[in-house]
Amino acid sequence: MNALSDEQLLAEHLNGQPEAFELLVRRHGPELFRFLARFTGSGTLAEDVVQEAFLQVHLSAGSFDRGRRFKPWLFTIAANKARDAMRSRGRRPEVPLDAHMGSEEDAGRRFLDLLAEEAADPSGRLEEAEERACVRSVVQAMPDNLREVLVLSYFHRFPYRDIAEILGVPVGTVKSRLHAAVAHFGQAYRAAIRKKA
Amino acid sequence: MTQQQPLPDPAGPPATEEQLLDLHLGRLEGRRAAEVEEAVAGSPGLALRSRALRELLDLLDRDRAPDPPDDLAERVLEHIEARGAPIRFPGAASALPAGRARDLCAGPLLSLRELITIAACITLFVGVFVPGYYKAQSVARRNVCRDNLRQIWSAMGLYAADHNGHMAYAGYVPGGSWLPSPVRIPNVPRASNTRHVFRLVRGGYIVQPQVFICPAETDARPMRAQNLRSFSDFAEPVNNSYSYSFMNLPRPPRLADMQVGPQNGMVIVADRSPLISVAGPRPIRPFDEQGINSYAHDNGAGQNAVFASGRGGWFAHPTIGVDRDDIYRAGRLLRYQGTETPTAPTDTFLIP
Repeated sequence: MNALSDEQLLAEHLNGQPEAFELLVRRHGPELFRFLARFTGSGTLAEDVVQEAFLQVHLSAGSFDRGRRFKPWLFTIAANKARDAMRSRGRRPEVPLDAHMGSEEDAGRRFLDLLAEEAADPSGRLEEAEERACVRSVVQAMPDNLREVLVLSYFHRFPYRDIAEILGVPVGTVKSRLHAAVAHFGQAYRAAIRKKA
Repeated sequence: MTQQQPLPDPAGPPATEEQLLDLHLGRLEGRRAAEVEEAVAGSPGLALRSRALRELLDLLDRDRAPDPPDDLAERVLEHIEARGAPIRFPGAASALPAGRARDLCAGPLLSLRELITIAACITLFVGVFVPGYYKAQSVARRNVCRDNLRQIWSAMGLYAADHNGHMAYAGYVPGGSWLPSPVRIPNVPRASNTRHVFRLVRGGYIVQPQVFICPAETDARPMRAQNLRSFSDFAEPVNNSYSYSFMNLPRPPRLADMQVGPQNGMVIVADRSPLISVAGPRPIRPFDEQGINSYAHDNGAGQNAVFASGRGGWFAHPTIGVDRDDIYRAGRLLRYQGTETPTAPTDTFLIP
């Protein structure tokens, strides 16, 4: 059964083979957990959402469109559940993509130019542990719609087409959001280390 | 500040910052990647930006995601199993914290006369206003439900007009089980009855998922609107409140074929069948054999139903099919397993 594709396993699950569903959970559970842990910023919440997402898959398996692939479908469900869970726990609302992301002096400047200036400035360096904590807090503080693209694209290496399917947006939007996400991360990280300095 | 320069590319459009990002994310194909790398190598400004971007992405690499628990799969499976089991309600606890409850019990706050006066007022209020309130609420729910069914009938008619008179139809599964999605019969293929009516959603004939929700069903909830076009059936049984004509037929029926008999023809959609809950078939009790109403409204007071002719409304009894046939039963069958079919072409058999 290990050789079966995800879609074949789901079909076996619908035919009453319980081990097929377990195999799907073992195959995708860990990666889904890591995605959700980065997206929600909480391992506990990530585990809850993993459970809810697979429960939804279990309940909705009969309505799965066989023309689609399983993994983007699973991540679509998980991302929706994660947004609901964060909303119910009172996370701050998203900011629009065209919202100003940096300080006044950064307005109108290209993000790679800002990064290039930062790279030439060694004074803003942090210790490694401090740096890791700073990166995490900056990623967690990003708007949801940017963070989810960054996590799916950079950390999980999903193809643009799959990310577009998961988020229900055009591929062009995925690319521009990823660009904006990296820019946002660069500016927010720089602001954070300036504050520490 | 360094000026942004487009990367030269004689074969295509100038490279952009997004392509520089794609280069570092390994998302460019060999030839295109080589061209962008060559352009970066030939421009000190681009090289500086490229290095800065690499350093930024290296920072992201330091954000390690926590590892999942070793028994994640077991926890997921236990969670699903637990949710599939009957819900047990623990004994009702006091709504007041223990200390506050003790304070209230410590001594009488109101005299006996005051208590009797308050109780009389409450009794009068409940006796006069509450029945009227519930009655009005019940009528309002029936009306909204009836409008939902008429919208579904109307969408069925529009679909038939666009498809040579055929009703929405999603194919034939010989011997398939029409039971709701969590319920399975081993080695029997699934043949959901609602996947046919869901064609109305996929085709844009019904765009509001709320149309499939009877307001009298407190557990029902509409599907997410953004999921409607990517599913081929309702995501969960609770996303649909209604029962539809049995449709797992070798050929798609025509709407006109359902308009048989001297009056309004067959019922094609009605409130949820009392014989099939979202958890599976319900046994019929001996005293229900003469006909049992949908439980959706007022614990079985009747049901809304719409005929193929478009006429419909509230009916206090389910024997409204052709020749006074019970619309929820296949013939006069009492027990259902999920593979039953109508016993005759004019036998109305509504299932979720």
